[in-house]
Amino acid sequence: MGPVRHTLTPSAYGRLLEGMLEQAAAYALSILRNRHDAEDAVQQAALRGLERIAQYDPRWPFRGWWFALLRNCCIDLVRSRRPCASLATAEHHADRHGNPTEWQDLAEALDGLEPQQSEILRLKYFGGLSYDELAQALDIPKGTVMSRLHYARKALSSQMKESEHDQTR
Amino acid sequence: MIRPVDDFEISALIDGELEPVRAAEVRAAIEQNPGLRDQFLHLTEAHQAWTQAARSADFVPRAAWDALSPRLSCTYGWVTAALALLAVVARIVPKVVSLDLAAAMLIHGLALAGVMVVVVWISGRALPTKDSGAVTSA
Repeated sequence: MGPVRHTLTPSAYGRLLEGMLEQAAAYALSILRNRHDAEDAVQQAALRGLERIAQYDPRWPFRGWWFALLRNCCIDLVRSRRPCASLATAEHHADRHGNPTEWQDLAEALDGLEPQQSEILRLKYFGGLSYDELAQALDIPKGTVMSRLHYARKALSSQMKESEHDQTR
Repeated sequence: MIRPVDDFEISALIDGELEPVRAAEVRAAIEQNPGLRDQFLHLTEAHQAWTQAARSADFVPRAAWDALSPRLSCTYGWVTAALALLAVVARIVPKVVSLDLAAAMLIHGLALAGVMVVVVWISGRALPTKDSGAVTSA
């Protein structure tokens, strides 16, 4: 007889989700750049997770599993709004009305990196994921997380130095 | 002999993701090697700044719970329905099966209490909670 696989109940799922909603919203905001879309993405991921709750194995880090769903929801939203790029840009600027915040500067610097690097840094900083959770979310070994994250940090650091240099010229 | 320190282990040390023994070795190497120390200090400073910047994006998404709550309450809905059914059955049984007055009264009393508990519970769930619809500014 194989090992008994415990599944997550909807109420336990809700409790786990509740503890990470703020960081989930921050992560979605860093990709989508406006609050309304970020809320939509978190909502879709919450519902998608509930629908796929039977597929979740409790041995996996929950946060990593769920952020992979959220990441896909964000990608779907970006794709769906691509034909209205001018609208998205307008919303983006509307959100930036007034003083650009620290997170916006960071998100813009991440956009200048290679996708693999920006992805792992977004999940690390905006999502607050640990190495195990990053490995789960990105479906890569923990050793790869370690090296990819390090080189991504170095790239981001260079990127930010360059943009500071450009601003001072 | 201590294994040489890989660059990425400096990042892992900053994130608190190294095993305690290896973390002590990497810390010792950083103290002895000015090049590693510079790299460690630079990455630590950047890490703190980026963490702080990312946290300025945190906010509580309103929409998530509005859509989820009816589905999450599905479980409780089934429990409520089962209790209500039990109460109805408890009221019918004494009429179908011949019982003495005391037993019939006891079952009726229990059924009535059950119905009242369910009504109070449903009323409680229907009332708005203090944080419903709240959105915290980033």
